[in-house]
Amino acid sequence: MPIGTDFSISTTGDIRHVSGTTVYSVLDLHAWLQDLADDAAAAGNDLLDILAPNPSKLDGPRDAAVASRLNLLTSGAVAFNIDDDAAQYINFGSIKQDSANVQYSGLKTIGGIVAASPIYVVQNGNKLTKFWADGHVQILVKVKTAGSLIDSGNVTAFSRKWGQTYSHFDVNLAAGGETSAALATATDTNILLTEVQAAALSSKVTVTFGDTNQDLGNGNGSKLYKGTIALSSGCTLSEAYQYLQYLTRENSSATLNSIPGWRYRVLNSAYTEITSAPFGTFAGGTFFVAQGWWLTGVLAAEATKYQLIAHDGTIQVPPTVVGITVGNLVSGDRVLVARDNGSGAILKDEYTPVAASSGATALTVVESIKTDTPTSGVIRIKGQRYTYSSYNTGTKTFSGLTPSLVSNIVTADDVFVPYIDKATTSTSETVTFVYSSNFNARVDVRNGSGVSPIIPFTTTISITNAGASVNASRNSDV
Amino acid sequence: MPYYVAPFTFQFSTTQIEVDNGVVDVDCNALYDAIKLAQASEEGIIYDRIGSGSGLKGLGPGVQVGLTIELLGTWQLYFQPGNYIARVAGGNLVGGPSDDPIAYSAGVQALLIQSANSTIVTTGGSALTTQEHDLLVKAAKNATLAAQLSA
Repeated sequence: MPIGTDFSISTTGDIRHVSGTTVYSVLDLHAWLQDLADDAAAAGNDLLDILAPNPSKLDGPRDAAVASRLNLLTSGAVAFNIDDDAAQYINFGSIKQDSANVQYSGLKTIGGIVAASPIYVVQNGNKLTKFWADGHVQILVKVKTAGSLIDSGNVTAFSRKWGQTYSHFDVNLAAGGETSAALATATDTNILLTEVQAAALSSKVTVTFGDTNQDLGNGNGSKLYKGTIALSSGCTLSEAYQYLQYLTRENSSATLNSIPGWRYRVLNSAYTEITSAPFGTFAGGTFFVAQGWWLTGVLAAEATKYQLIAHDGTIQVPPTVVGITVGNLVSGDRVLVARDNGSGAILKDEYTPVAASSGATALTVVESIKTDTPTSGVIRIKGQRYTYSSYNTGTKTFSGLTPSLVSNIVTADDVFVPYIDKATTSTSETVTFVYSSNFNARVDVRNGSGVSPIIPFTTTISITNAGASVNASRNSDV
Repeated sequence: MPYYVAPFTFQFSTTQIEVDNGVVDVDCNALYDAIKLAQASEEGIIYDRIGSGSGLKGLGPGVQVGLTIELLGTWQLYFQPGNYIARVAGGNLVGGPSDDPIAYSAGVQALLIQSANSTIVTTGGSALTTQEHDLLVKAAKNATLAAQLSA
């Protein structure tokens, strides 16, 4: 249909859409207006002819291959203008009117997206009412009214469809013409639930905003995070990821830190956004959590299946926590698991102590404390068994010694940290610690009293990133 | 870090089992019981075994093969110095450095009462019956007669 059929022009310059669904270019509008303006007499509902003021002019070259910048002119009582409805049927350029107090600018989305990905445009915190079909858009957006730019001309194009990766792109339309917003979406194979199923995860995932200092136990110490994602009730990382995507999808009704979920982007404006997944991406079974989020409640089976980025930008990888288990025990057995010295014996001089006095409750060592040292446990100092409650890798100090040192300690004394060193009251003993590298440990199980003393059980085990487990052999002693 | 169970003090640093002053007789069974406790103690668990025991197999009601203790590594039994005879009985004590299970102690003469086929008989039970008595007498007579004939 010709443009004249779809639009009307009043004698005061109001250009209105009256029929049809065809979208015309800004240059088409200008050409049509100029065509009317040289007519001898107006006809129909297009009340524009040579007696009327000049309706329009281009701010720039007349080139059908590029977006046009059109000025709708005002002359006396005649102010040529379009309204928001008419603007829906015009694209590929920009239009200024009312002496440049009103401006519509072109917005075009480009990039690789899933066919018919729904796109929405956010301006000044609000979604624009959609008048376009799904898929890439090429539209006019009103960016200036009453002489003032709306949010400085900024708009953001989003595509956040459930089951697809998300995308958004900021553009500034103040300059007019047409500006492109690059979007990229893809089918998200990590979305396995329906929206209804995802919604039900609200009882398992809690998102809390606020500073928290947390130590992941990976040797990097305490780090500042700006929010917490708490998992519970057996929530998996996959479920958490899906729920968080659910919270930020186009139709989300969630509010995240006073921001509607559908335009939530990042925890802190200083952080790099993850456009495909505002709370972080999920790949290969691992949740790469967005910066600033502390994750808690992760299932033991997934303890190493995530990665955080602290507020300071450092990547925090959870440690591999492994265990050593000695089984087939009876109450009263004394169990010792200690690092092997390479010859099948206990490494008793693991550390060199700094001289300390009797009565002290802390001991500093010369060597760096190994990262695979249990966070608390037993330390043997000069053969004497003590427990420690913590250690500081920076100061190389074991603290909270119980009992306090029973004798003076000199540098020649042996110090080592057994992994297990106790008289059991159970059928097995387990210790957990952060895996660092493979090593061998010597295991001793002895029971010389009671009705069934056993021949001392001694073996060497290899601890890997899967930990280690061994059952004691119980051979009766005479 | 020594470990004590009367009358023995286990010196892990010197690998000696010190016998209390005044104790001159050591029973192997008591010694091995103490060894088992010591090597399974909080002090002893970080050290290699002190000794191993063998024997004590049942031969019949109330009768067992005797106990043999082998001291491992450089462990030795040590009596306090003095002019006396120390006795180790109730089983065999072997092992130690150069197969010497007793450490030198000034003035002490250590007597190891050993046996190649030691047994332990548990006392108790009842007297012989008349039939058992008669059988025993008859066997003795037969043995005496056989000895005379062969002479």
